[in-house]
This record gives sequence, structure tokens and C-alpha cells, in this order.
Amino acid sequence: MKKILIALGICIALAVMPMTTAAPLSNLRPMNIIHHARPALTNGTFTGVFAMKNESGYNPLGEFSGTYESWEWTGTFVGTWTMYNGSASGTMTGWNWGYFFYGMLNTTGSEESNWFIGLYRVNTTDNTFEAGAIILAEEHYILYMMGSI
Amino acid sequence: MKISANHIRTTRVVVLVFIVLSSLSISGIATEPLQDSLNHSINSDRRQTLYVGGTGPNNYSKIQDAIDNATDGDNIYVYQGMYYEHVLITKNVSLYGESRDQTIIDGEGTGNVIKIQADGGTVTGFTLQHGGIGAYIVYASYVNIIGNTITNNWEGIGLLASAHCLISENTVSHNGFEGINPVQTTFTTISGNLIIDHLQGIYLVQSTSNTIFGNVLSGNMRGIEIQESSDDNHLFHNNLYSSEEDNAYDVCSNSWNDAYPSGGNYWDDYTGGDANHDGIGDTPYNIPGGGGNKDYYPLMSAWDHPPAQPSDPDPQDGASNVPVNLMISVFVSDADQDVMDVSFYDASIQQLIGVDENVPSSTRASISWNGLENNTMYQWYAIANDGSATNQSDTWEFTTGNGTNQPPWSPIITGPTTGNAGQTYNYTFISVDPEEKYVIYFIEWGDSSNSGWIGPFQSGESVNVSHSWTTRGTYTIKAKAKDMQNAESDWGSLSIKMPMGSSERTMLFMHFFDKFFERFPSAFPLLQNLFFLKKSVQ
Repeated sequence: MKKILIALGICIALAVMPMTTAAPLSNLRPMNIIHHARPALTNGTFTGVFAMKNESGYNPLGEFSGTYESWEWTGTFVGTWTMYNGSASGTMTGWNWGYFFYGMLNTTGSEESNWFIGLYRVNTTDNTFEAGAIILAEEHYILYMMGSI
Repeated sequence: MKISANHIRTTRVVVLVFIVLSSLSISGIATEPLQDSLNHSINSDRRQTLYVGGTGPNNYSKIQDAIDNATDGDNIYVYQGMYYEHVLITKNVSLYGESRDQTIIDGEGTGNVIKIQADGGTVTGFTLQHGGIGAYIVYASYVNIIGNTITNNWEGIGLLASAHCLISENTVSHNGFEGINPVQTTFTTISGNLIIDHLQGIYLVQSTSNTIFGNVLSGNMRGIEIQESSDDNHLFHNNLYSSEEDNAYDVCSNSWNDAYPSGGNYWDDYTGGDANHDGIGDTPYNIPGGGGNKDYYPLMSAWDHPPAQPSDPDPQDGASNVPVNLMISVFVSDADQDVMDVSFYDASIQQLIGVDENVPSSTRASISWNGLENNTMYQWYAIANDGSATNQSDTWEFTTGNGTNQPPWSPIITGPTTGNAGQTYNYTFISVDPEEKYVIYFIEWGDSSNSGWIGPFQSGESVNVSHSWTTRGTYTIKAKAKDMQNAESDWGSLSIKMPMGSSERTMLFMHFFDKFFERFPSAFPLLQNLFFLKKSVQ
């Protein structure tokens, strides 16, 4: 009997718990819907070339491609990159906020990965973009990227 | 007193030694200035101007060929034209373009349009386009990039490990990445540039102790960005407009104002007030980036830049055989895009020749100067006034003479030859000046109206002008051109027919019926019955 009472008590407690948590949430929900309606998702692909600058000028080094998902001012992207000379390749993962983006570069076969932060812009008339990012490696360097979405 | 022979011998020796020493020192003193003078003379003689383009018999066709054959201190004058080159400067030479808009170096989508790897030298009066970097200064000092248009490159102006350079009064626009990008650069001045539509307008990387003032930055994702140990830079009197991300972003430690009352920069997103109306905001403008930088004296209204120094004179400085009646002109620009009044002065007697009013920025101002003495040297200069500030040009000179100036060719007129009255049509006028100078046009439309003198335009440039005729008829459009030395072409002409407009056609139709029924009054009831009958049959 005691066990039955304990089990009954637990059941009642479990049943009441969602009701108590749900009560204030239901009060807030209309406001949440109004102010935090998620912008429509846009997604697509991107492809382009990356370059570094030295005393010769701009030197295109390789190419990259990937996919992105974006909700108005924020979004994510993933992709791969390859050096033209085949010396290295890897992946990239990142996020954007407005025209600012940041993320992580990984090199295949290496445990090394580096953060990057940068700025980009998109020309919506011809769906091209330009971006510049500081790679936060042991020695910082700047990568320049341009391509299309 | 007795003088011994020994003493006499000794005295002779001393005197001789003195004379020898004296003559040595005299010759030494005399030699140095002589040598200096000789060196100066040799250097002056060696300094030369090489010409590229144009019609001179020894002119080079490529800028790089002229550079390769130049020596330190030479000037290279490049006539207007399109040059598809990647110019590399490895000696102290200066490049002067004949006309900023018409002397174009095009990188054809690759490489650096101009790369400078030597101390000294100036590049002015060019359009640099379609390259990796428009102008790239690498490991060089005291290089000047002044008064150029740099557009549609990956990057406008780059500096790497350079110092004491001057980047001034350029229009830098629509380059993919940075407008101006100093890297590891020091003690350089960036001033009076118009910088439009870039990822970063000015991007300082590992660059210290530079002065950045009086620039206009508009439509860049970031107006000015400062990264990677770029400290002790001084930035003031810049106007920053409508940057998508930030007007400025500074992770380092820099000075963003020129103290009170000179003030800081103009920020179009500054929201502070100005209670004492001194033109300086009451609260600092915080510059994002984490460097804790502030503009303590933000300007409440945009800094009014003076006009750029008038340049690119026509006739050229030192020209000879100039006619006694001529048109003189200069290129004028203003970083705020203000229109200007441009006054021309006879420098010999400090007398005003005339004023060209309301001249748009980045165009030419011109004025007639007539009745000059033959075989006489004249000096002149121009002052551009944007309403709040002025800037005076250098003083130039020319010599009049029995020049062989040829008038421009008769304008060729193209455009529709038939049309309807009341509608507007575009016509194109082209005239070529044998001296390849600027021309102005006078157009008569054949309906008693004319354009007045318009221009100046480049020789061979297509000039589009529109016009409409109010009544039908056959008209002859006539146009003549005049060069800057007041030589006029013959008239060019084009005949056109304007049959009639739709309203005119309706009026004519009504007029016909009026006349018809006046002449045949019985026709009206007849026609009325006819139509009635037709209707009843139906």
C-alpha cells in the first residue's frame, strides 16, 4: 500500500510539473510569436577562389566551395578548400552576423585548426561576393576570397 | 744685423713651402665649388622628359619602354590614350598623365597596374583600372600618388613596408577589397581622397604613425579598419558616410581627433548633441573594435574640403607657338563634389582673365583669352573656389607664336532622320581636333534654337544631346566645333523630317472637314442620311 501511495504521489508530481512550467510559458507565447518570428530560411551554395597578398601583389592560391544557411542577419556555412598545387586541402565551418563572419579552418591530415574572423559583402545584382579574413594562426595572415553564390 | 746664407736658405724654403701650401689650399677651395657646379650642371643636363603616346617622332608607345630607358630624376609624360600594361617602376622617375580621365592604364584583369619599388617619384593624372592592385608601393619611401582615378581593381592603392609616402586627392572607387591598404607602413599621409564602395575604405595593418585626414569615405562595408598592432596613427577631419557594417573599426590604439577646436571626424551615425553650438559633439563617438578608441571631438557637420589644386593645364606648361587668341583650361575636382567657380589669372600682371562659374567636380574649367601679343611669354594660374575654400594652381607659362594650329574637323552628326513633332530625340556629335585637344560645340537645331557653346569635350569623344521640335517640317541640324585656341571648324549638318505629331494629325483632320463642309454645305445632310440608312439596314 505504501509503495502504491509513493508511486501515485510520483505520478501526480510528474503530472503537475509540466502544468506549472507550462503556465507562465503560455502567458509569454503570444509575445514570443510576435517578436521572435524566425525569418525565412534561405540556403544555397557558394564557390570561389582564395588568395593572399605579398610583395608581388595578389596570389590566387586555391579554391573553395560549400553551402550556407541564413536567417536574415545570421547564418552558418560549411565548405571545403583545396590548394591549386594540391599541397593541402581541408574544411571550414563558420557563422555570420551581419557582414561579419568567423569560424574555423581545418587541414586534412593535420590536427592543426585555426580560427578566422572577417568581413564580406554580396553583390545581389550578379550574386558575387568578396571577403577578407584574418587567419588567427601562430602568425596572423589575411586571406582574400571572391566568388559567387 | 747680419743675415747668414743659411738663414736666407731657410727663409727661402719656408717661403716656398708657404707658397706651395697656399696654392694648394687655394686650388682646393677653388676645386670644390667648381666640381659641385660641374656635377650640378651634368645632373641638370641628364634630367630629361620622355614622352609616351602622342605624335612626336621619338615618342615611346609603351610606358614601360620609357621607364626602362629613363634614369633617376627623369619625368615621363604620357599622352592621353589607353595603355594595356603592367608598369614596374624600379628607379626614381615620375609619371605625368596628360588627362586624368583619358590617360588610362588597364591591367586587363591581372597583376598590378603600377608597381613602384623605388624611392621618390610621383604618379599623377591617370586612370588605373582592371588590375590586382591599382598602384602598389613596395619597400619604397617618399613616393607620391596624387590626383588619379583608381577603379575596378581588386584593391585600389596598396603600400607594403613603405614610409613617408603621400596618397592625396585621388578618387578610389569600386575596387573589390580595400580602397587603400597600408601594410607595415609608417609616416605616410593619406589625405583628400574620395573613397567609395569597398570592403574596407582604408585598412591599416601593422602600420604605425601615419596621418589620415580630409578623406571622404562613402558606401564601404567598413569605412576605416585598423588591425594588427597599428598604433599611433592620427585620424581627423575625415567624413564617414553610410558604411554598412561600421564607419570605423579599431582594435589598436590611435588618435581619432585633432584636439579642440580643430575637432575630430564627421560620423553620419553620431547621435550626440551640441548644446553650445561650437560644431563639436558634446559626447565622444565610440569606435568599435575593442581598442577603446574614441573620437572626443566629433564634428556635427561634414568637414568641408577645399577644392583640389587645379591641374592638367591646356596649353601645357612651357608650350610654344600658341595662338594669340585661345581657350585655356584646367582640370578641377572637389572631394565633397561641390561645384566650383574657377578664376583664371594673368600671372605676369596679376590680373583676372575671367571666371568659369558652376563647374562640376572632376571636369574641366575653361575661359577664352584673346588679343595676346605675338612671340611673347605669358604666365597664368587658376583658383578653384567651392564657396567656402579656395585652392590655387601652380603657375604655368606658354609662348605665343605663329603656330600651325589646325581647326577641328566638321562635326559628324548621327541620330534619327525622321520622327514626330513633340517627341525628344538624341543626336550624337563627334569632332576630331588634329592636335587632339579639347573641343567645344555649337549646335543649331534648325528651328531658331541653339545649344550655345557646350563643353569642353575630348577630341573624338561622342557627345549626346537631345532635342524636340514642336511643329512638323524639314529641319537641318548644324553643328560646329571650336578648339581651345579658338579655331572653328566648318559646319556639319544633318537633315531631318518631322512629319507630324498625333495631336497635329487630329487638328489637320478636323481642319479638312471644316473646309469640306464649308465648300459643300449640302454634303452634311447627305452624309447624315447615308449613315442613317446604313444604320437602319443593319
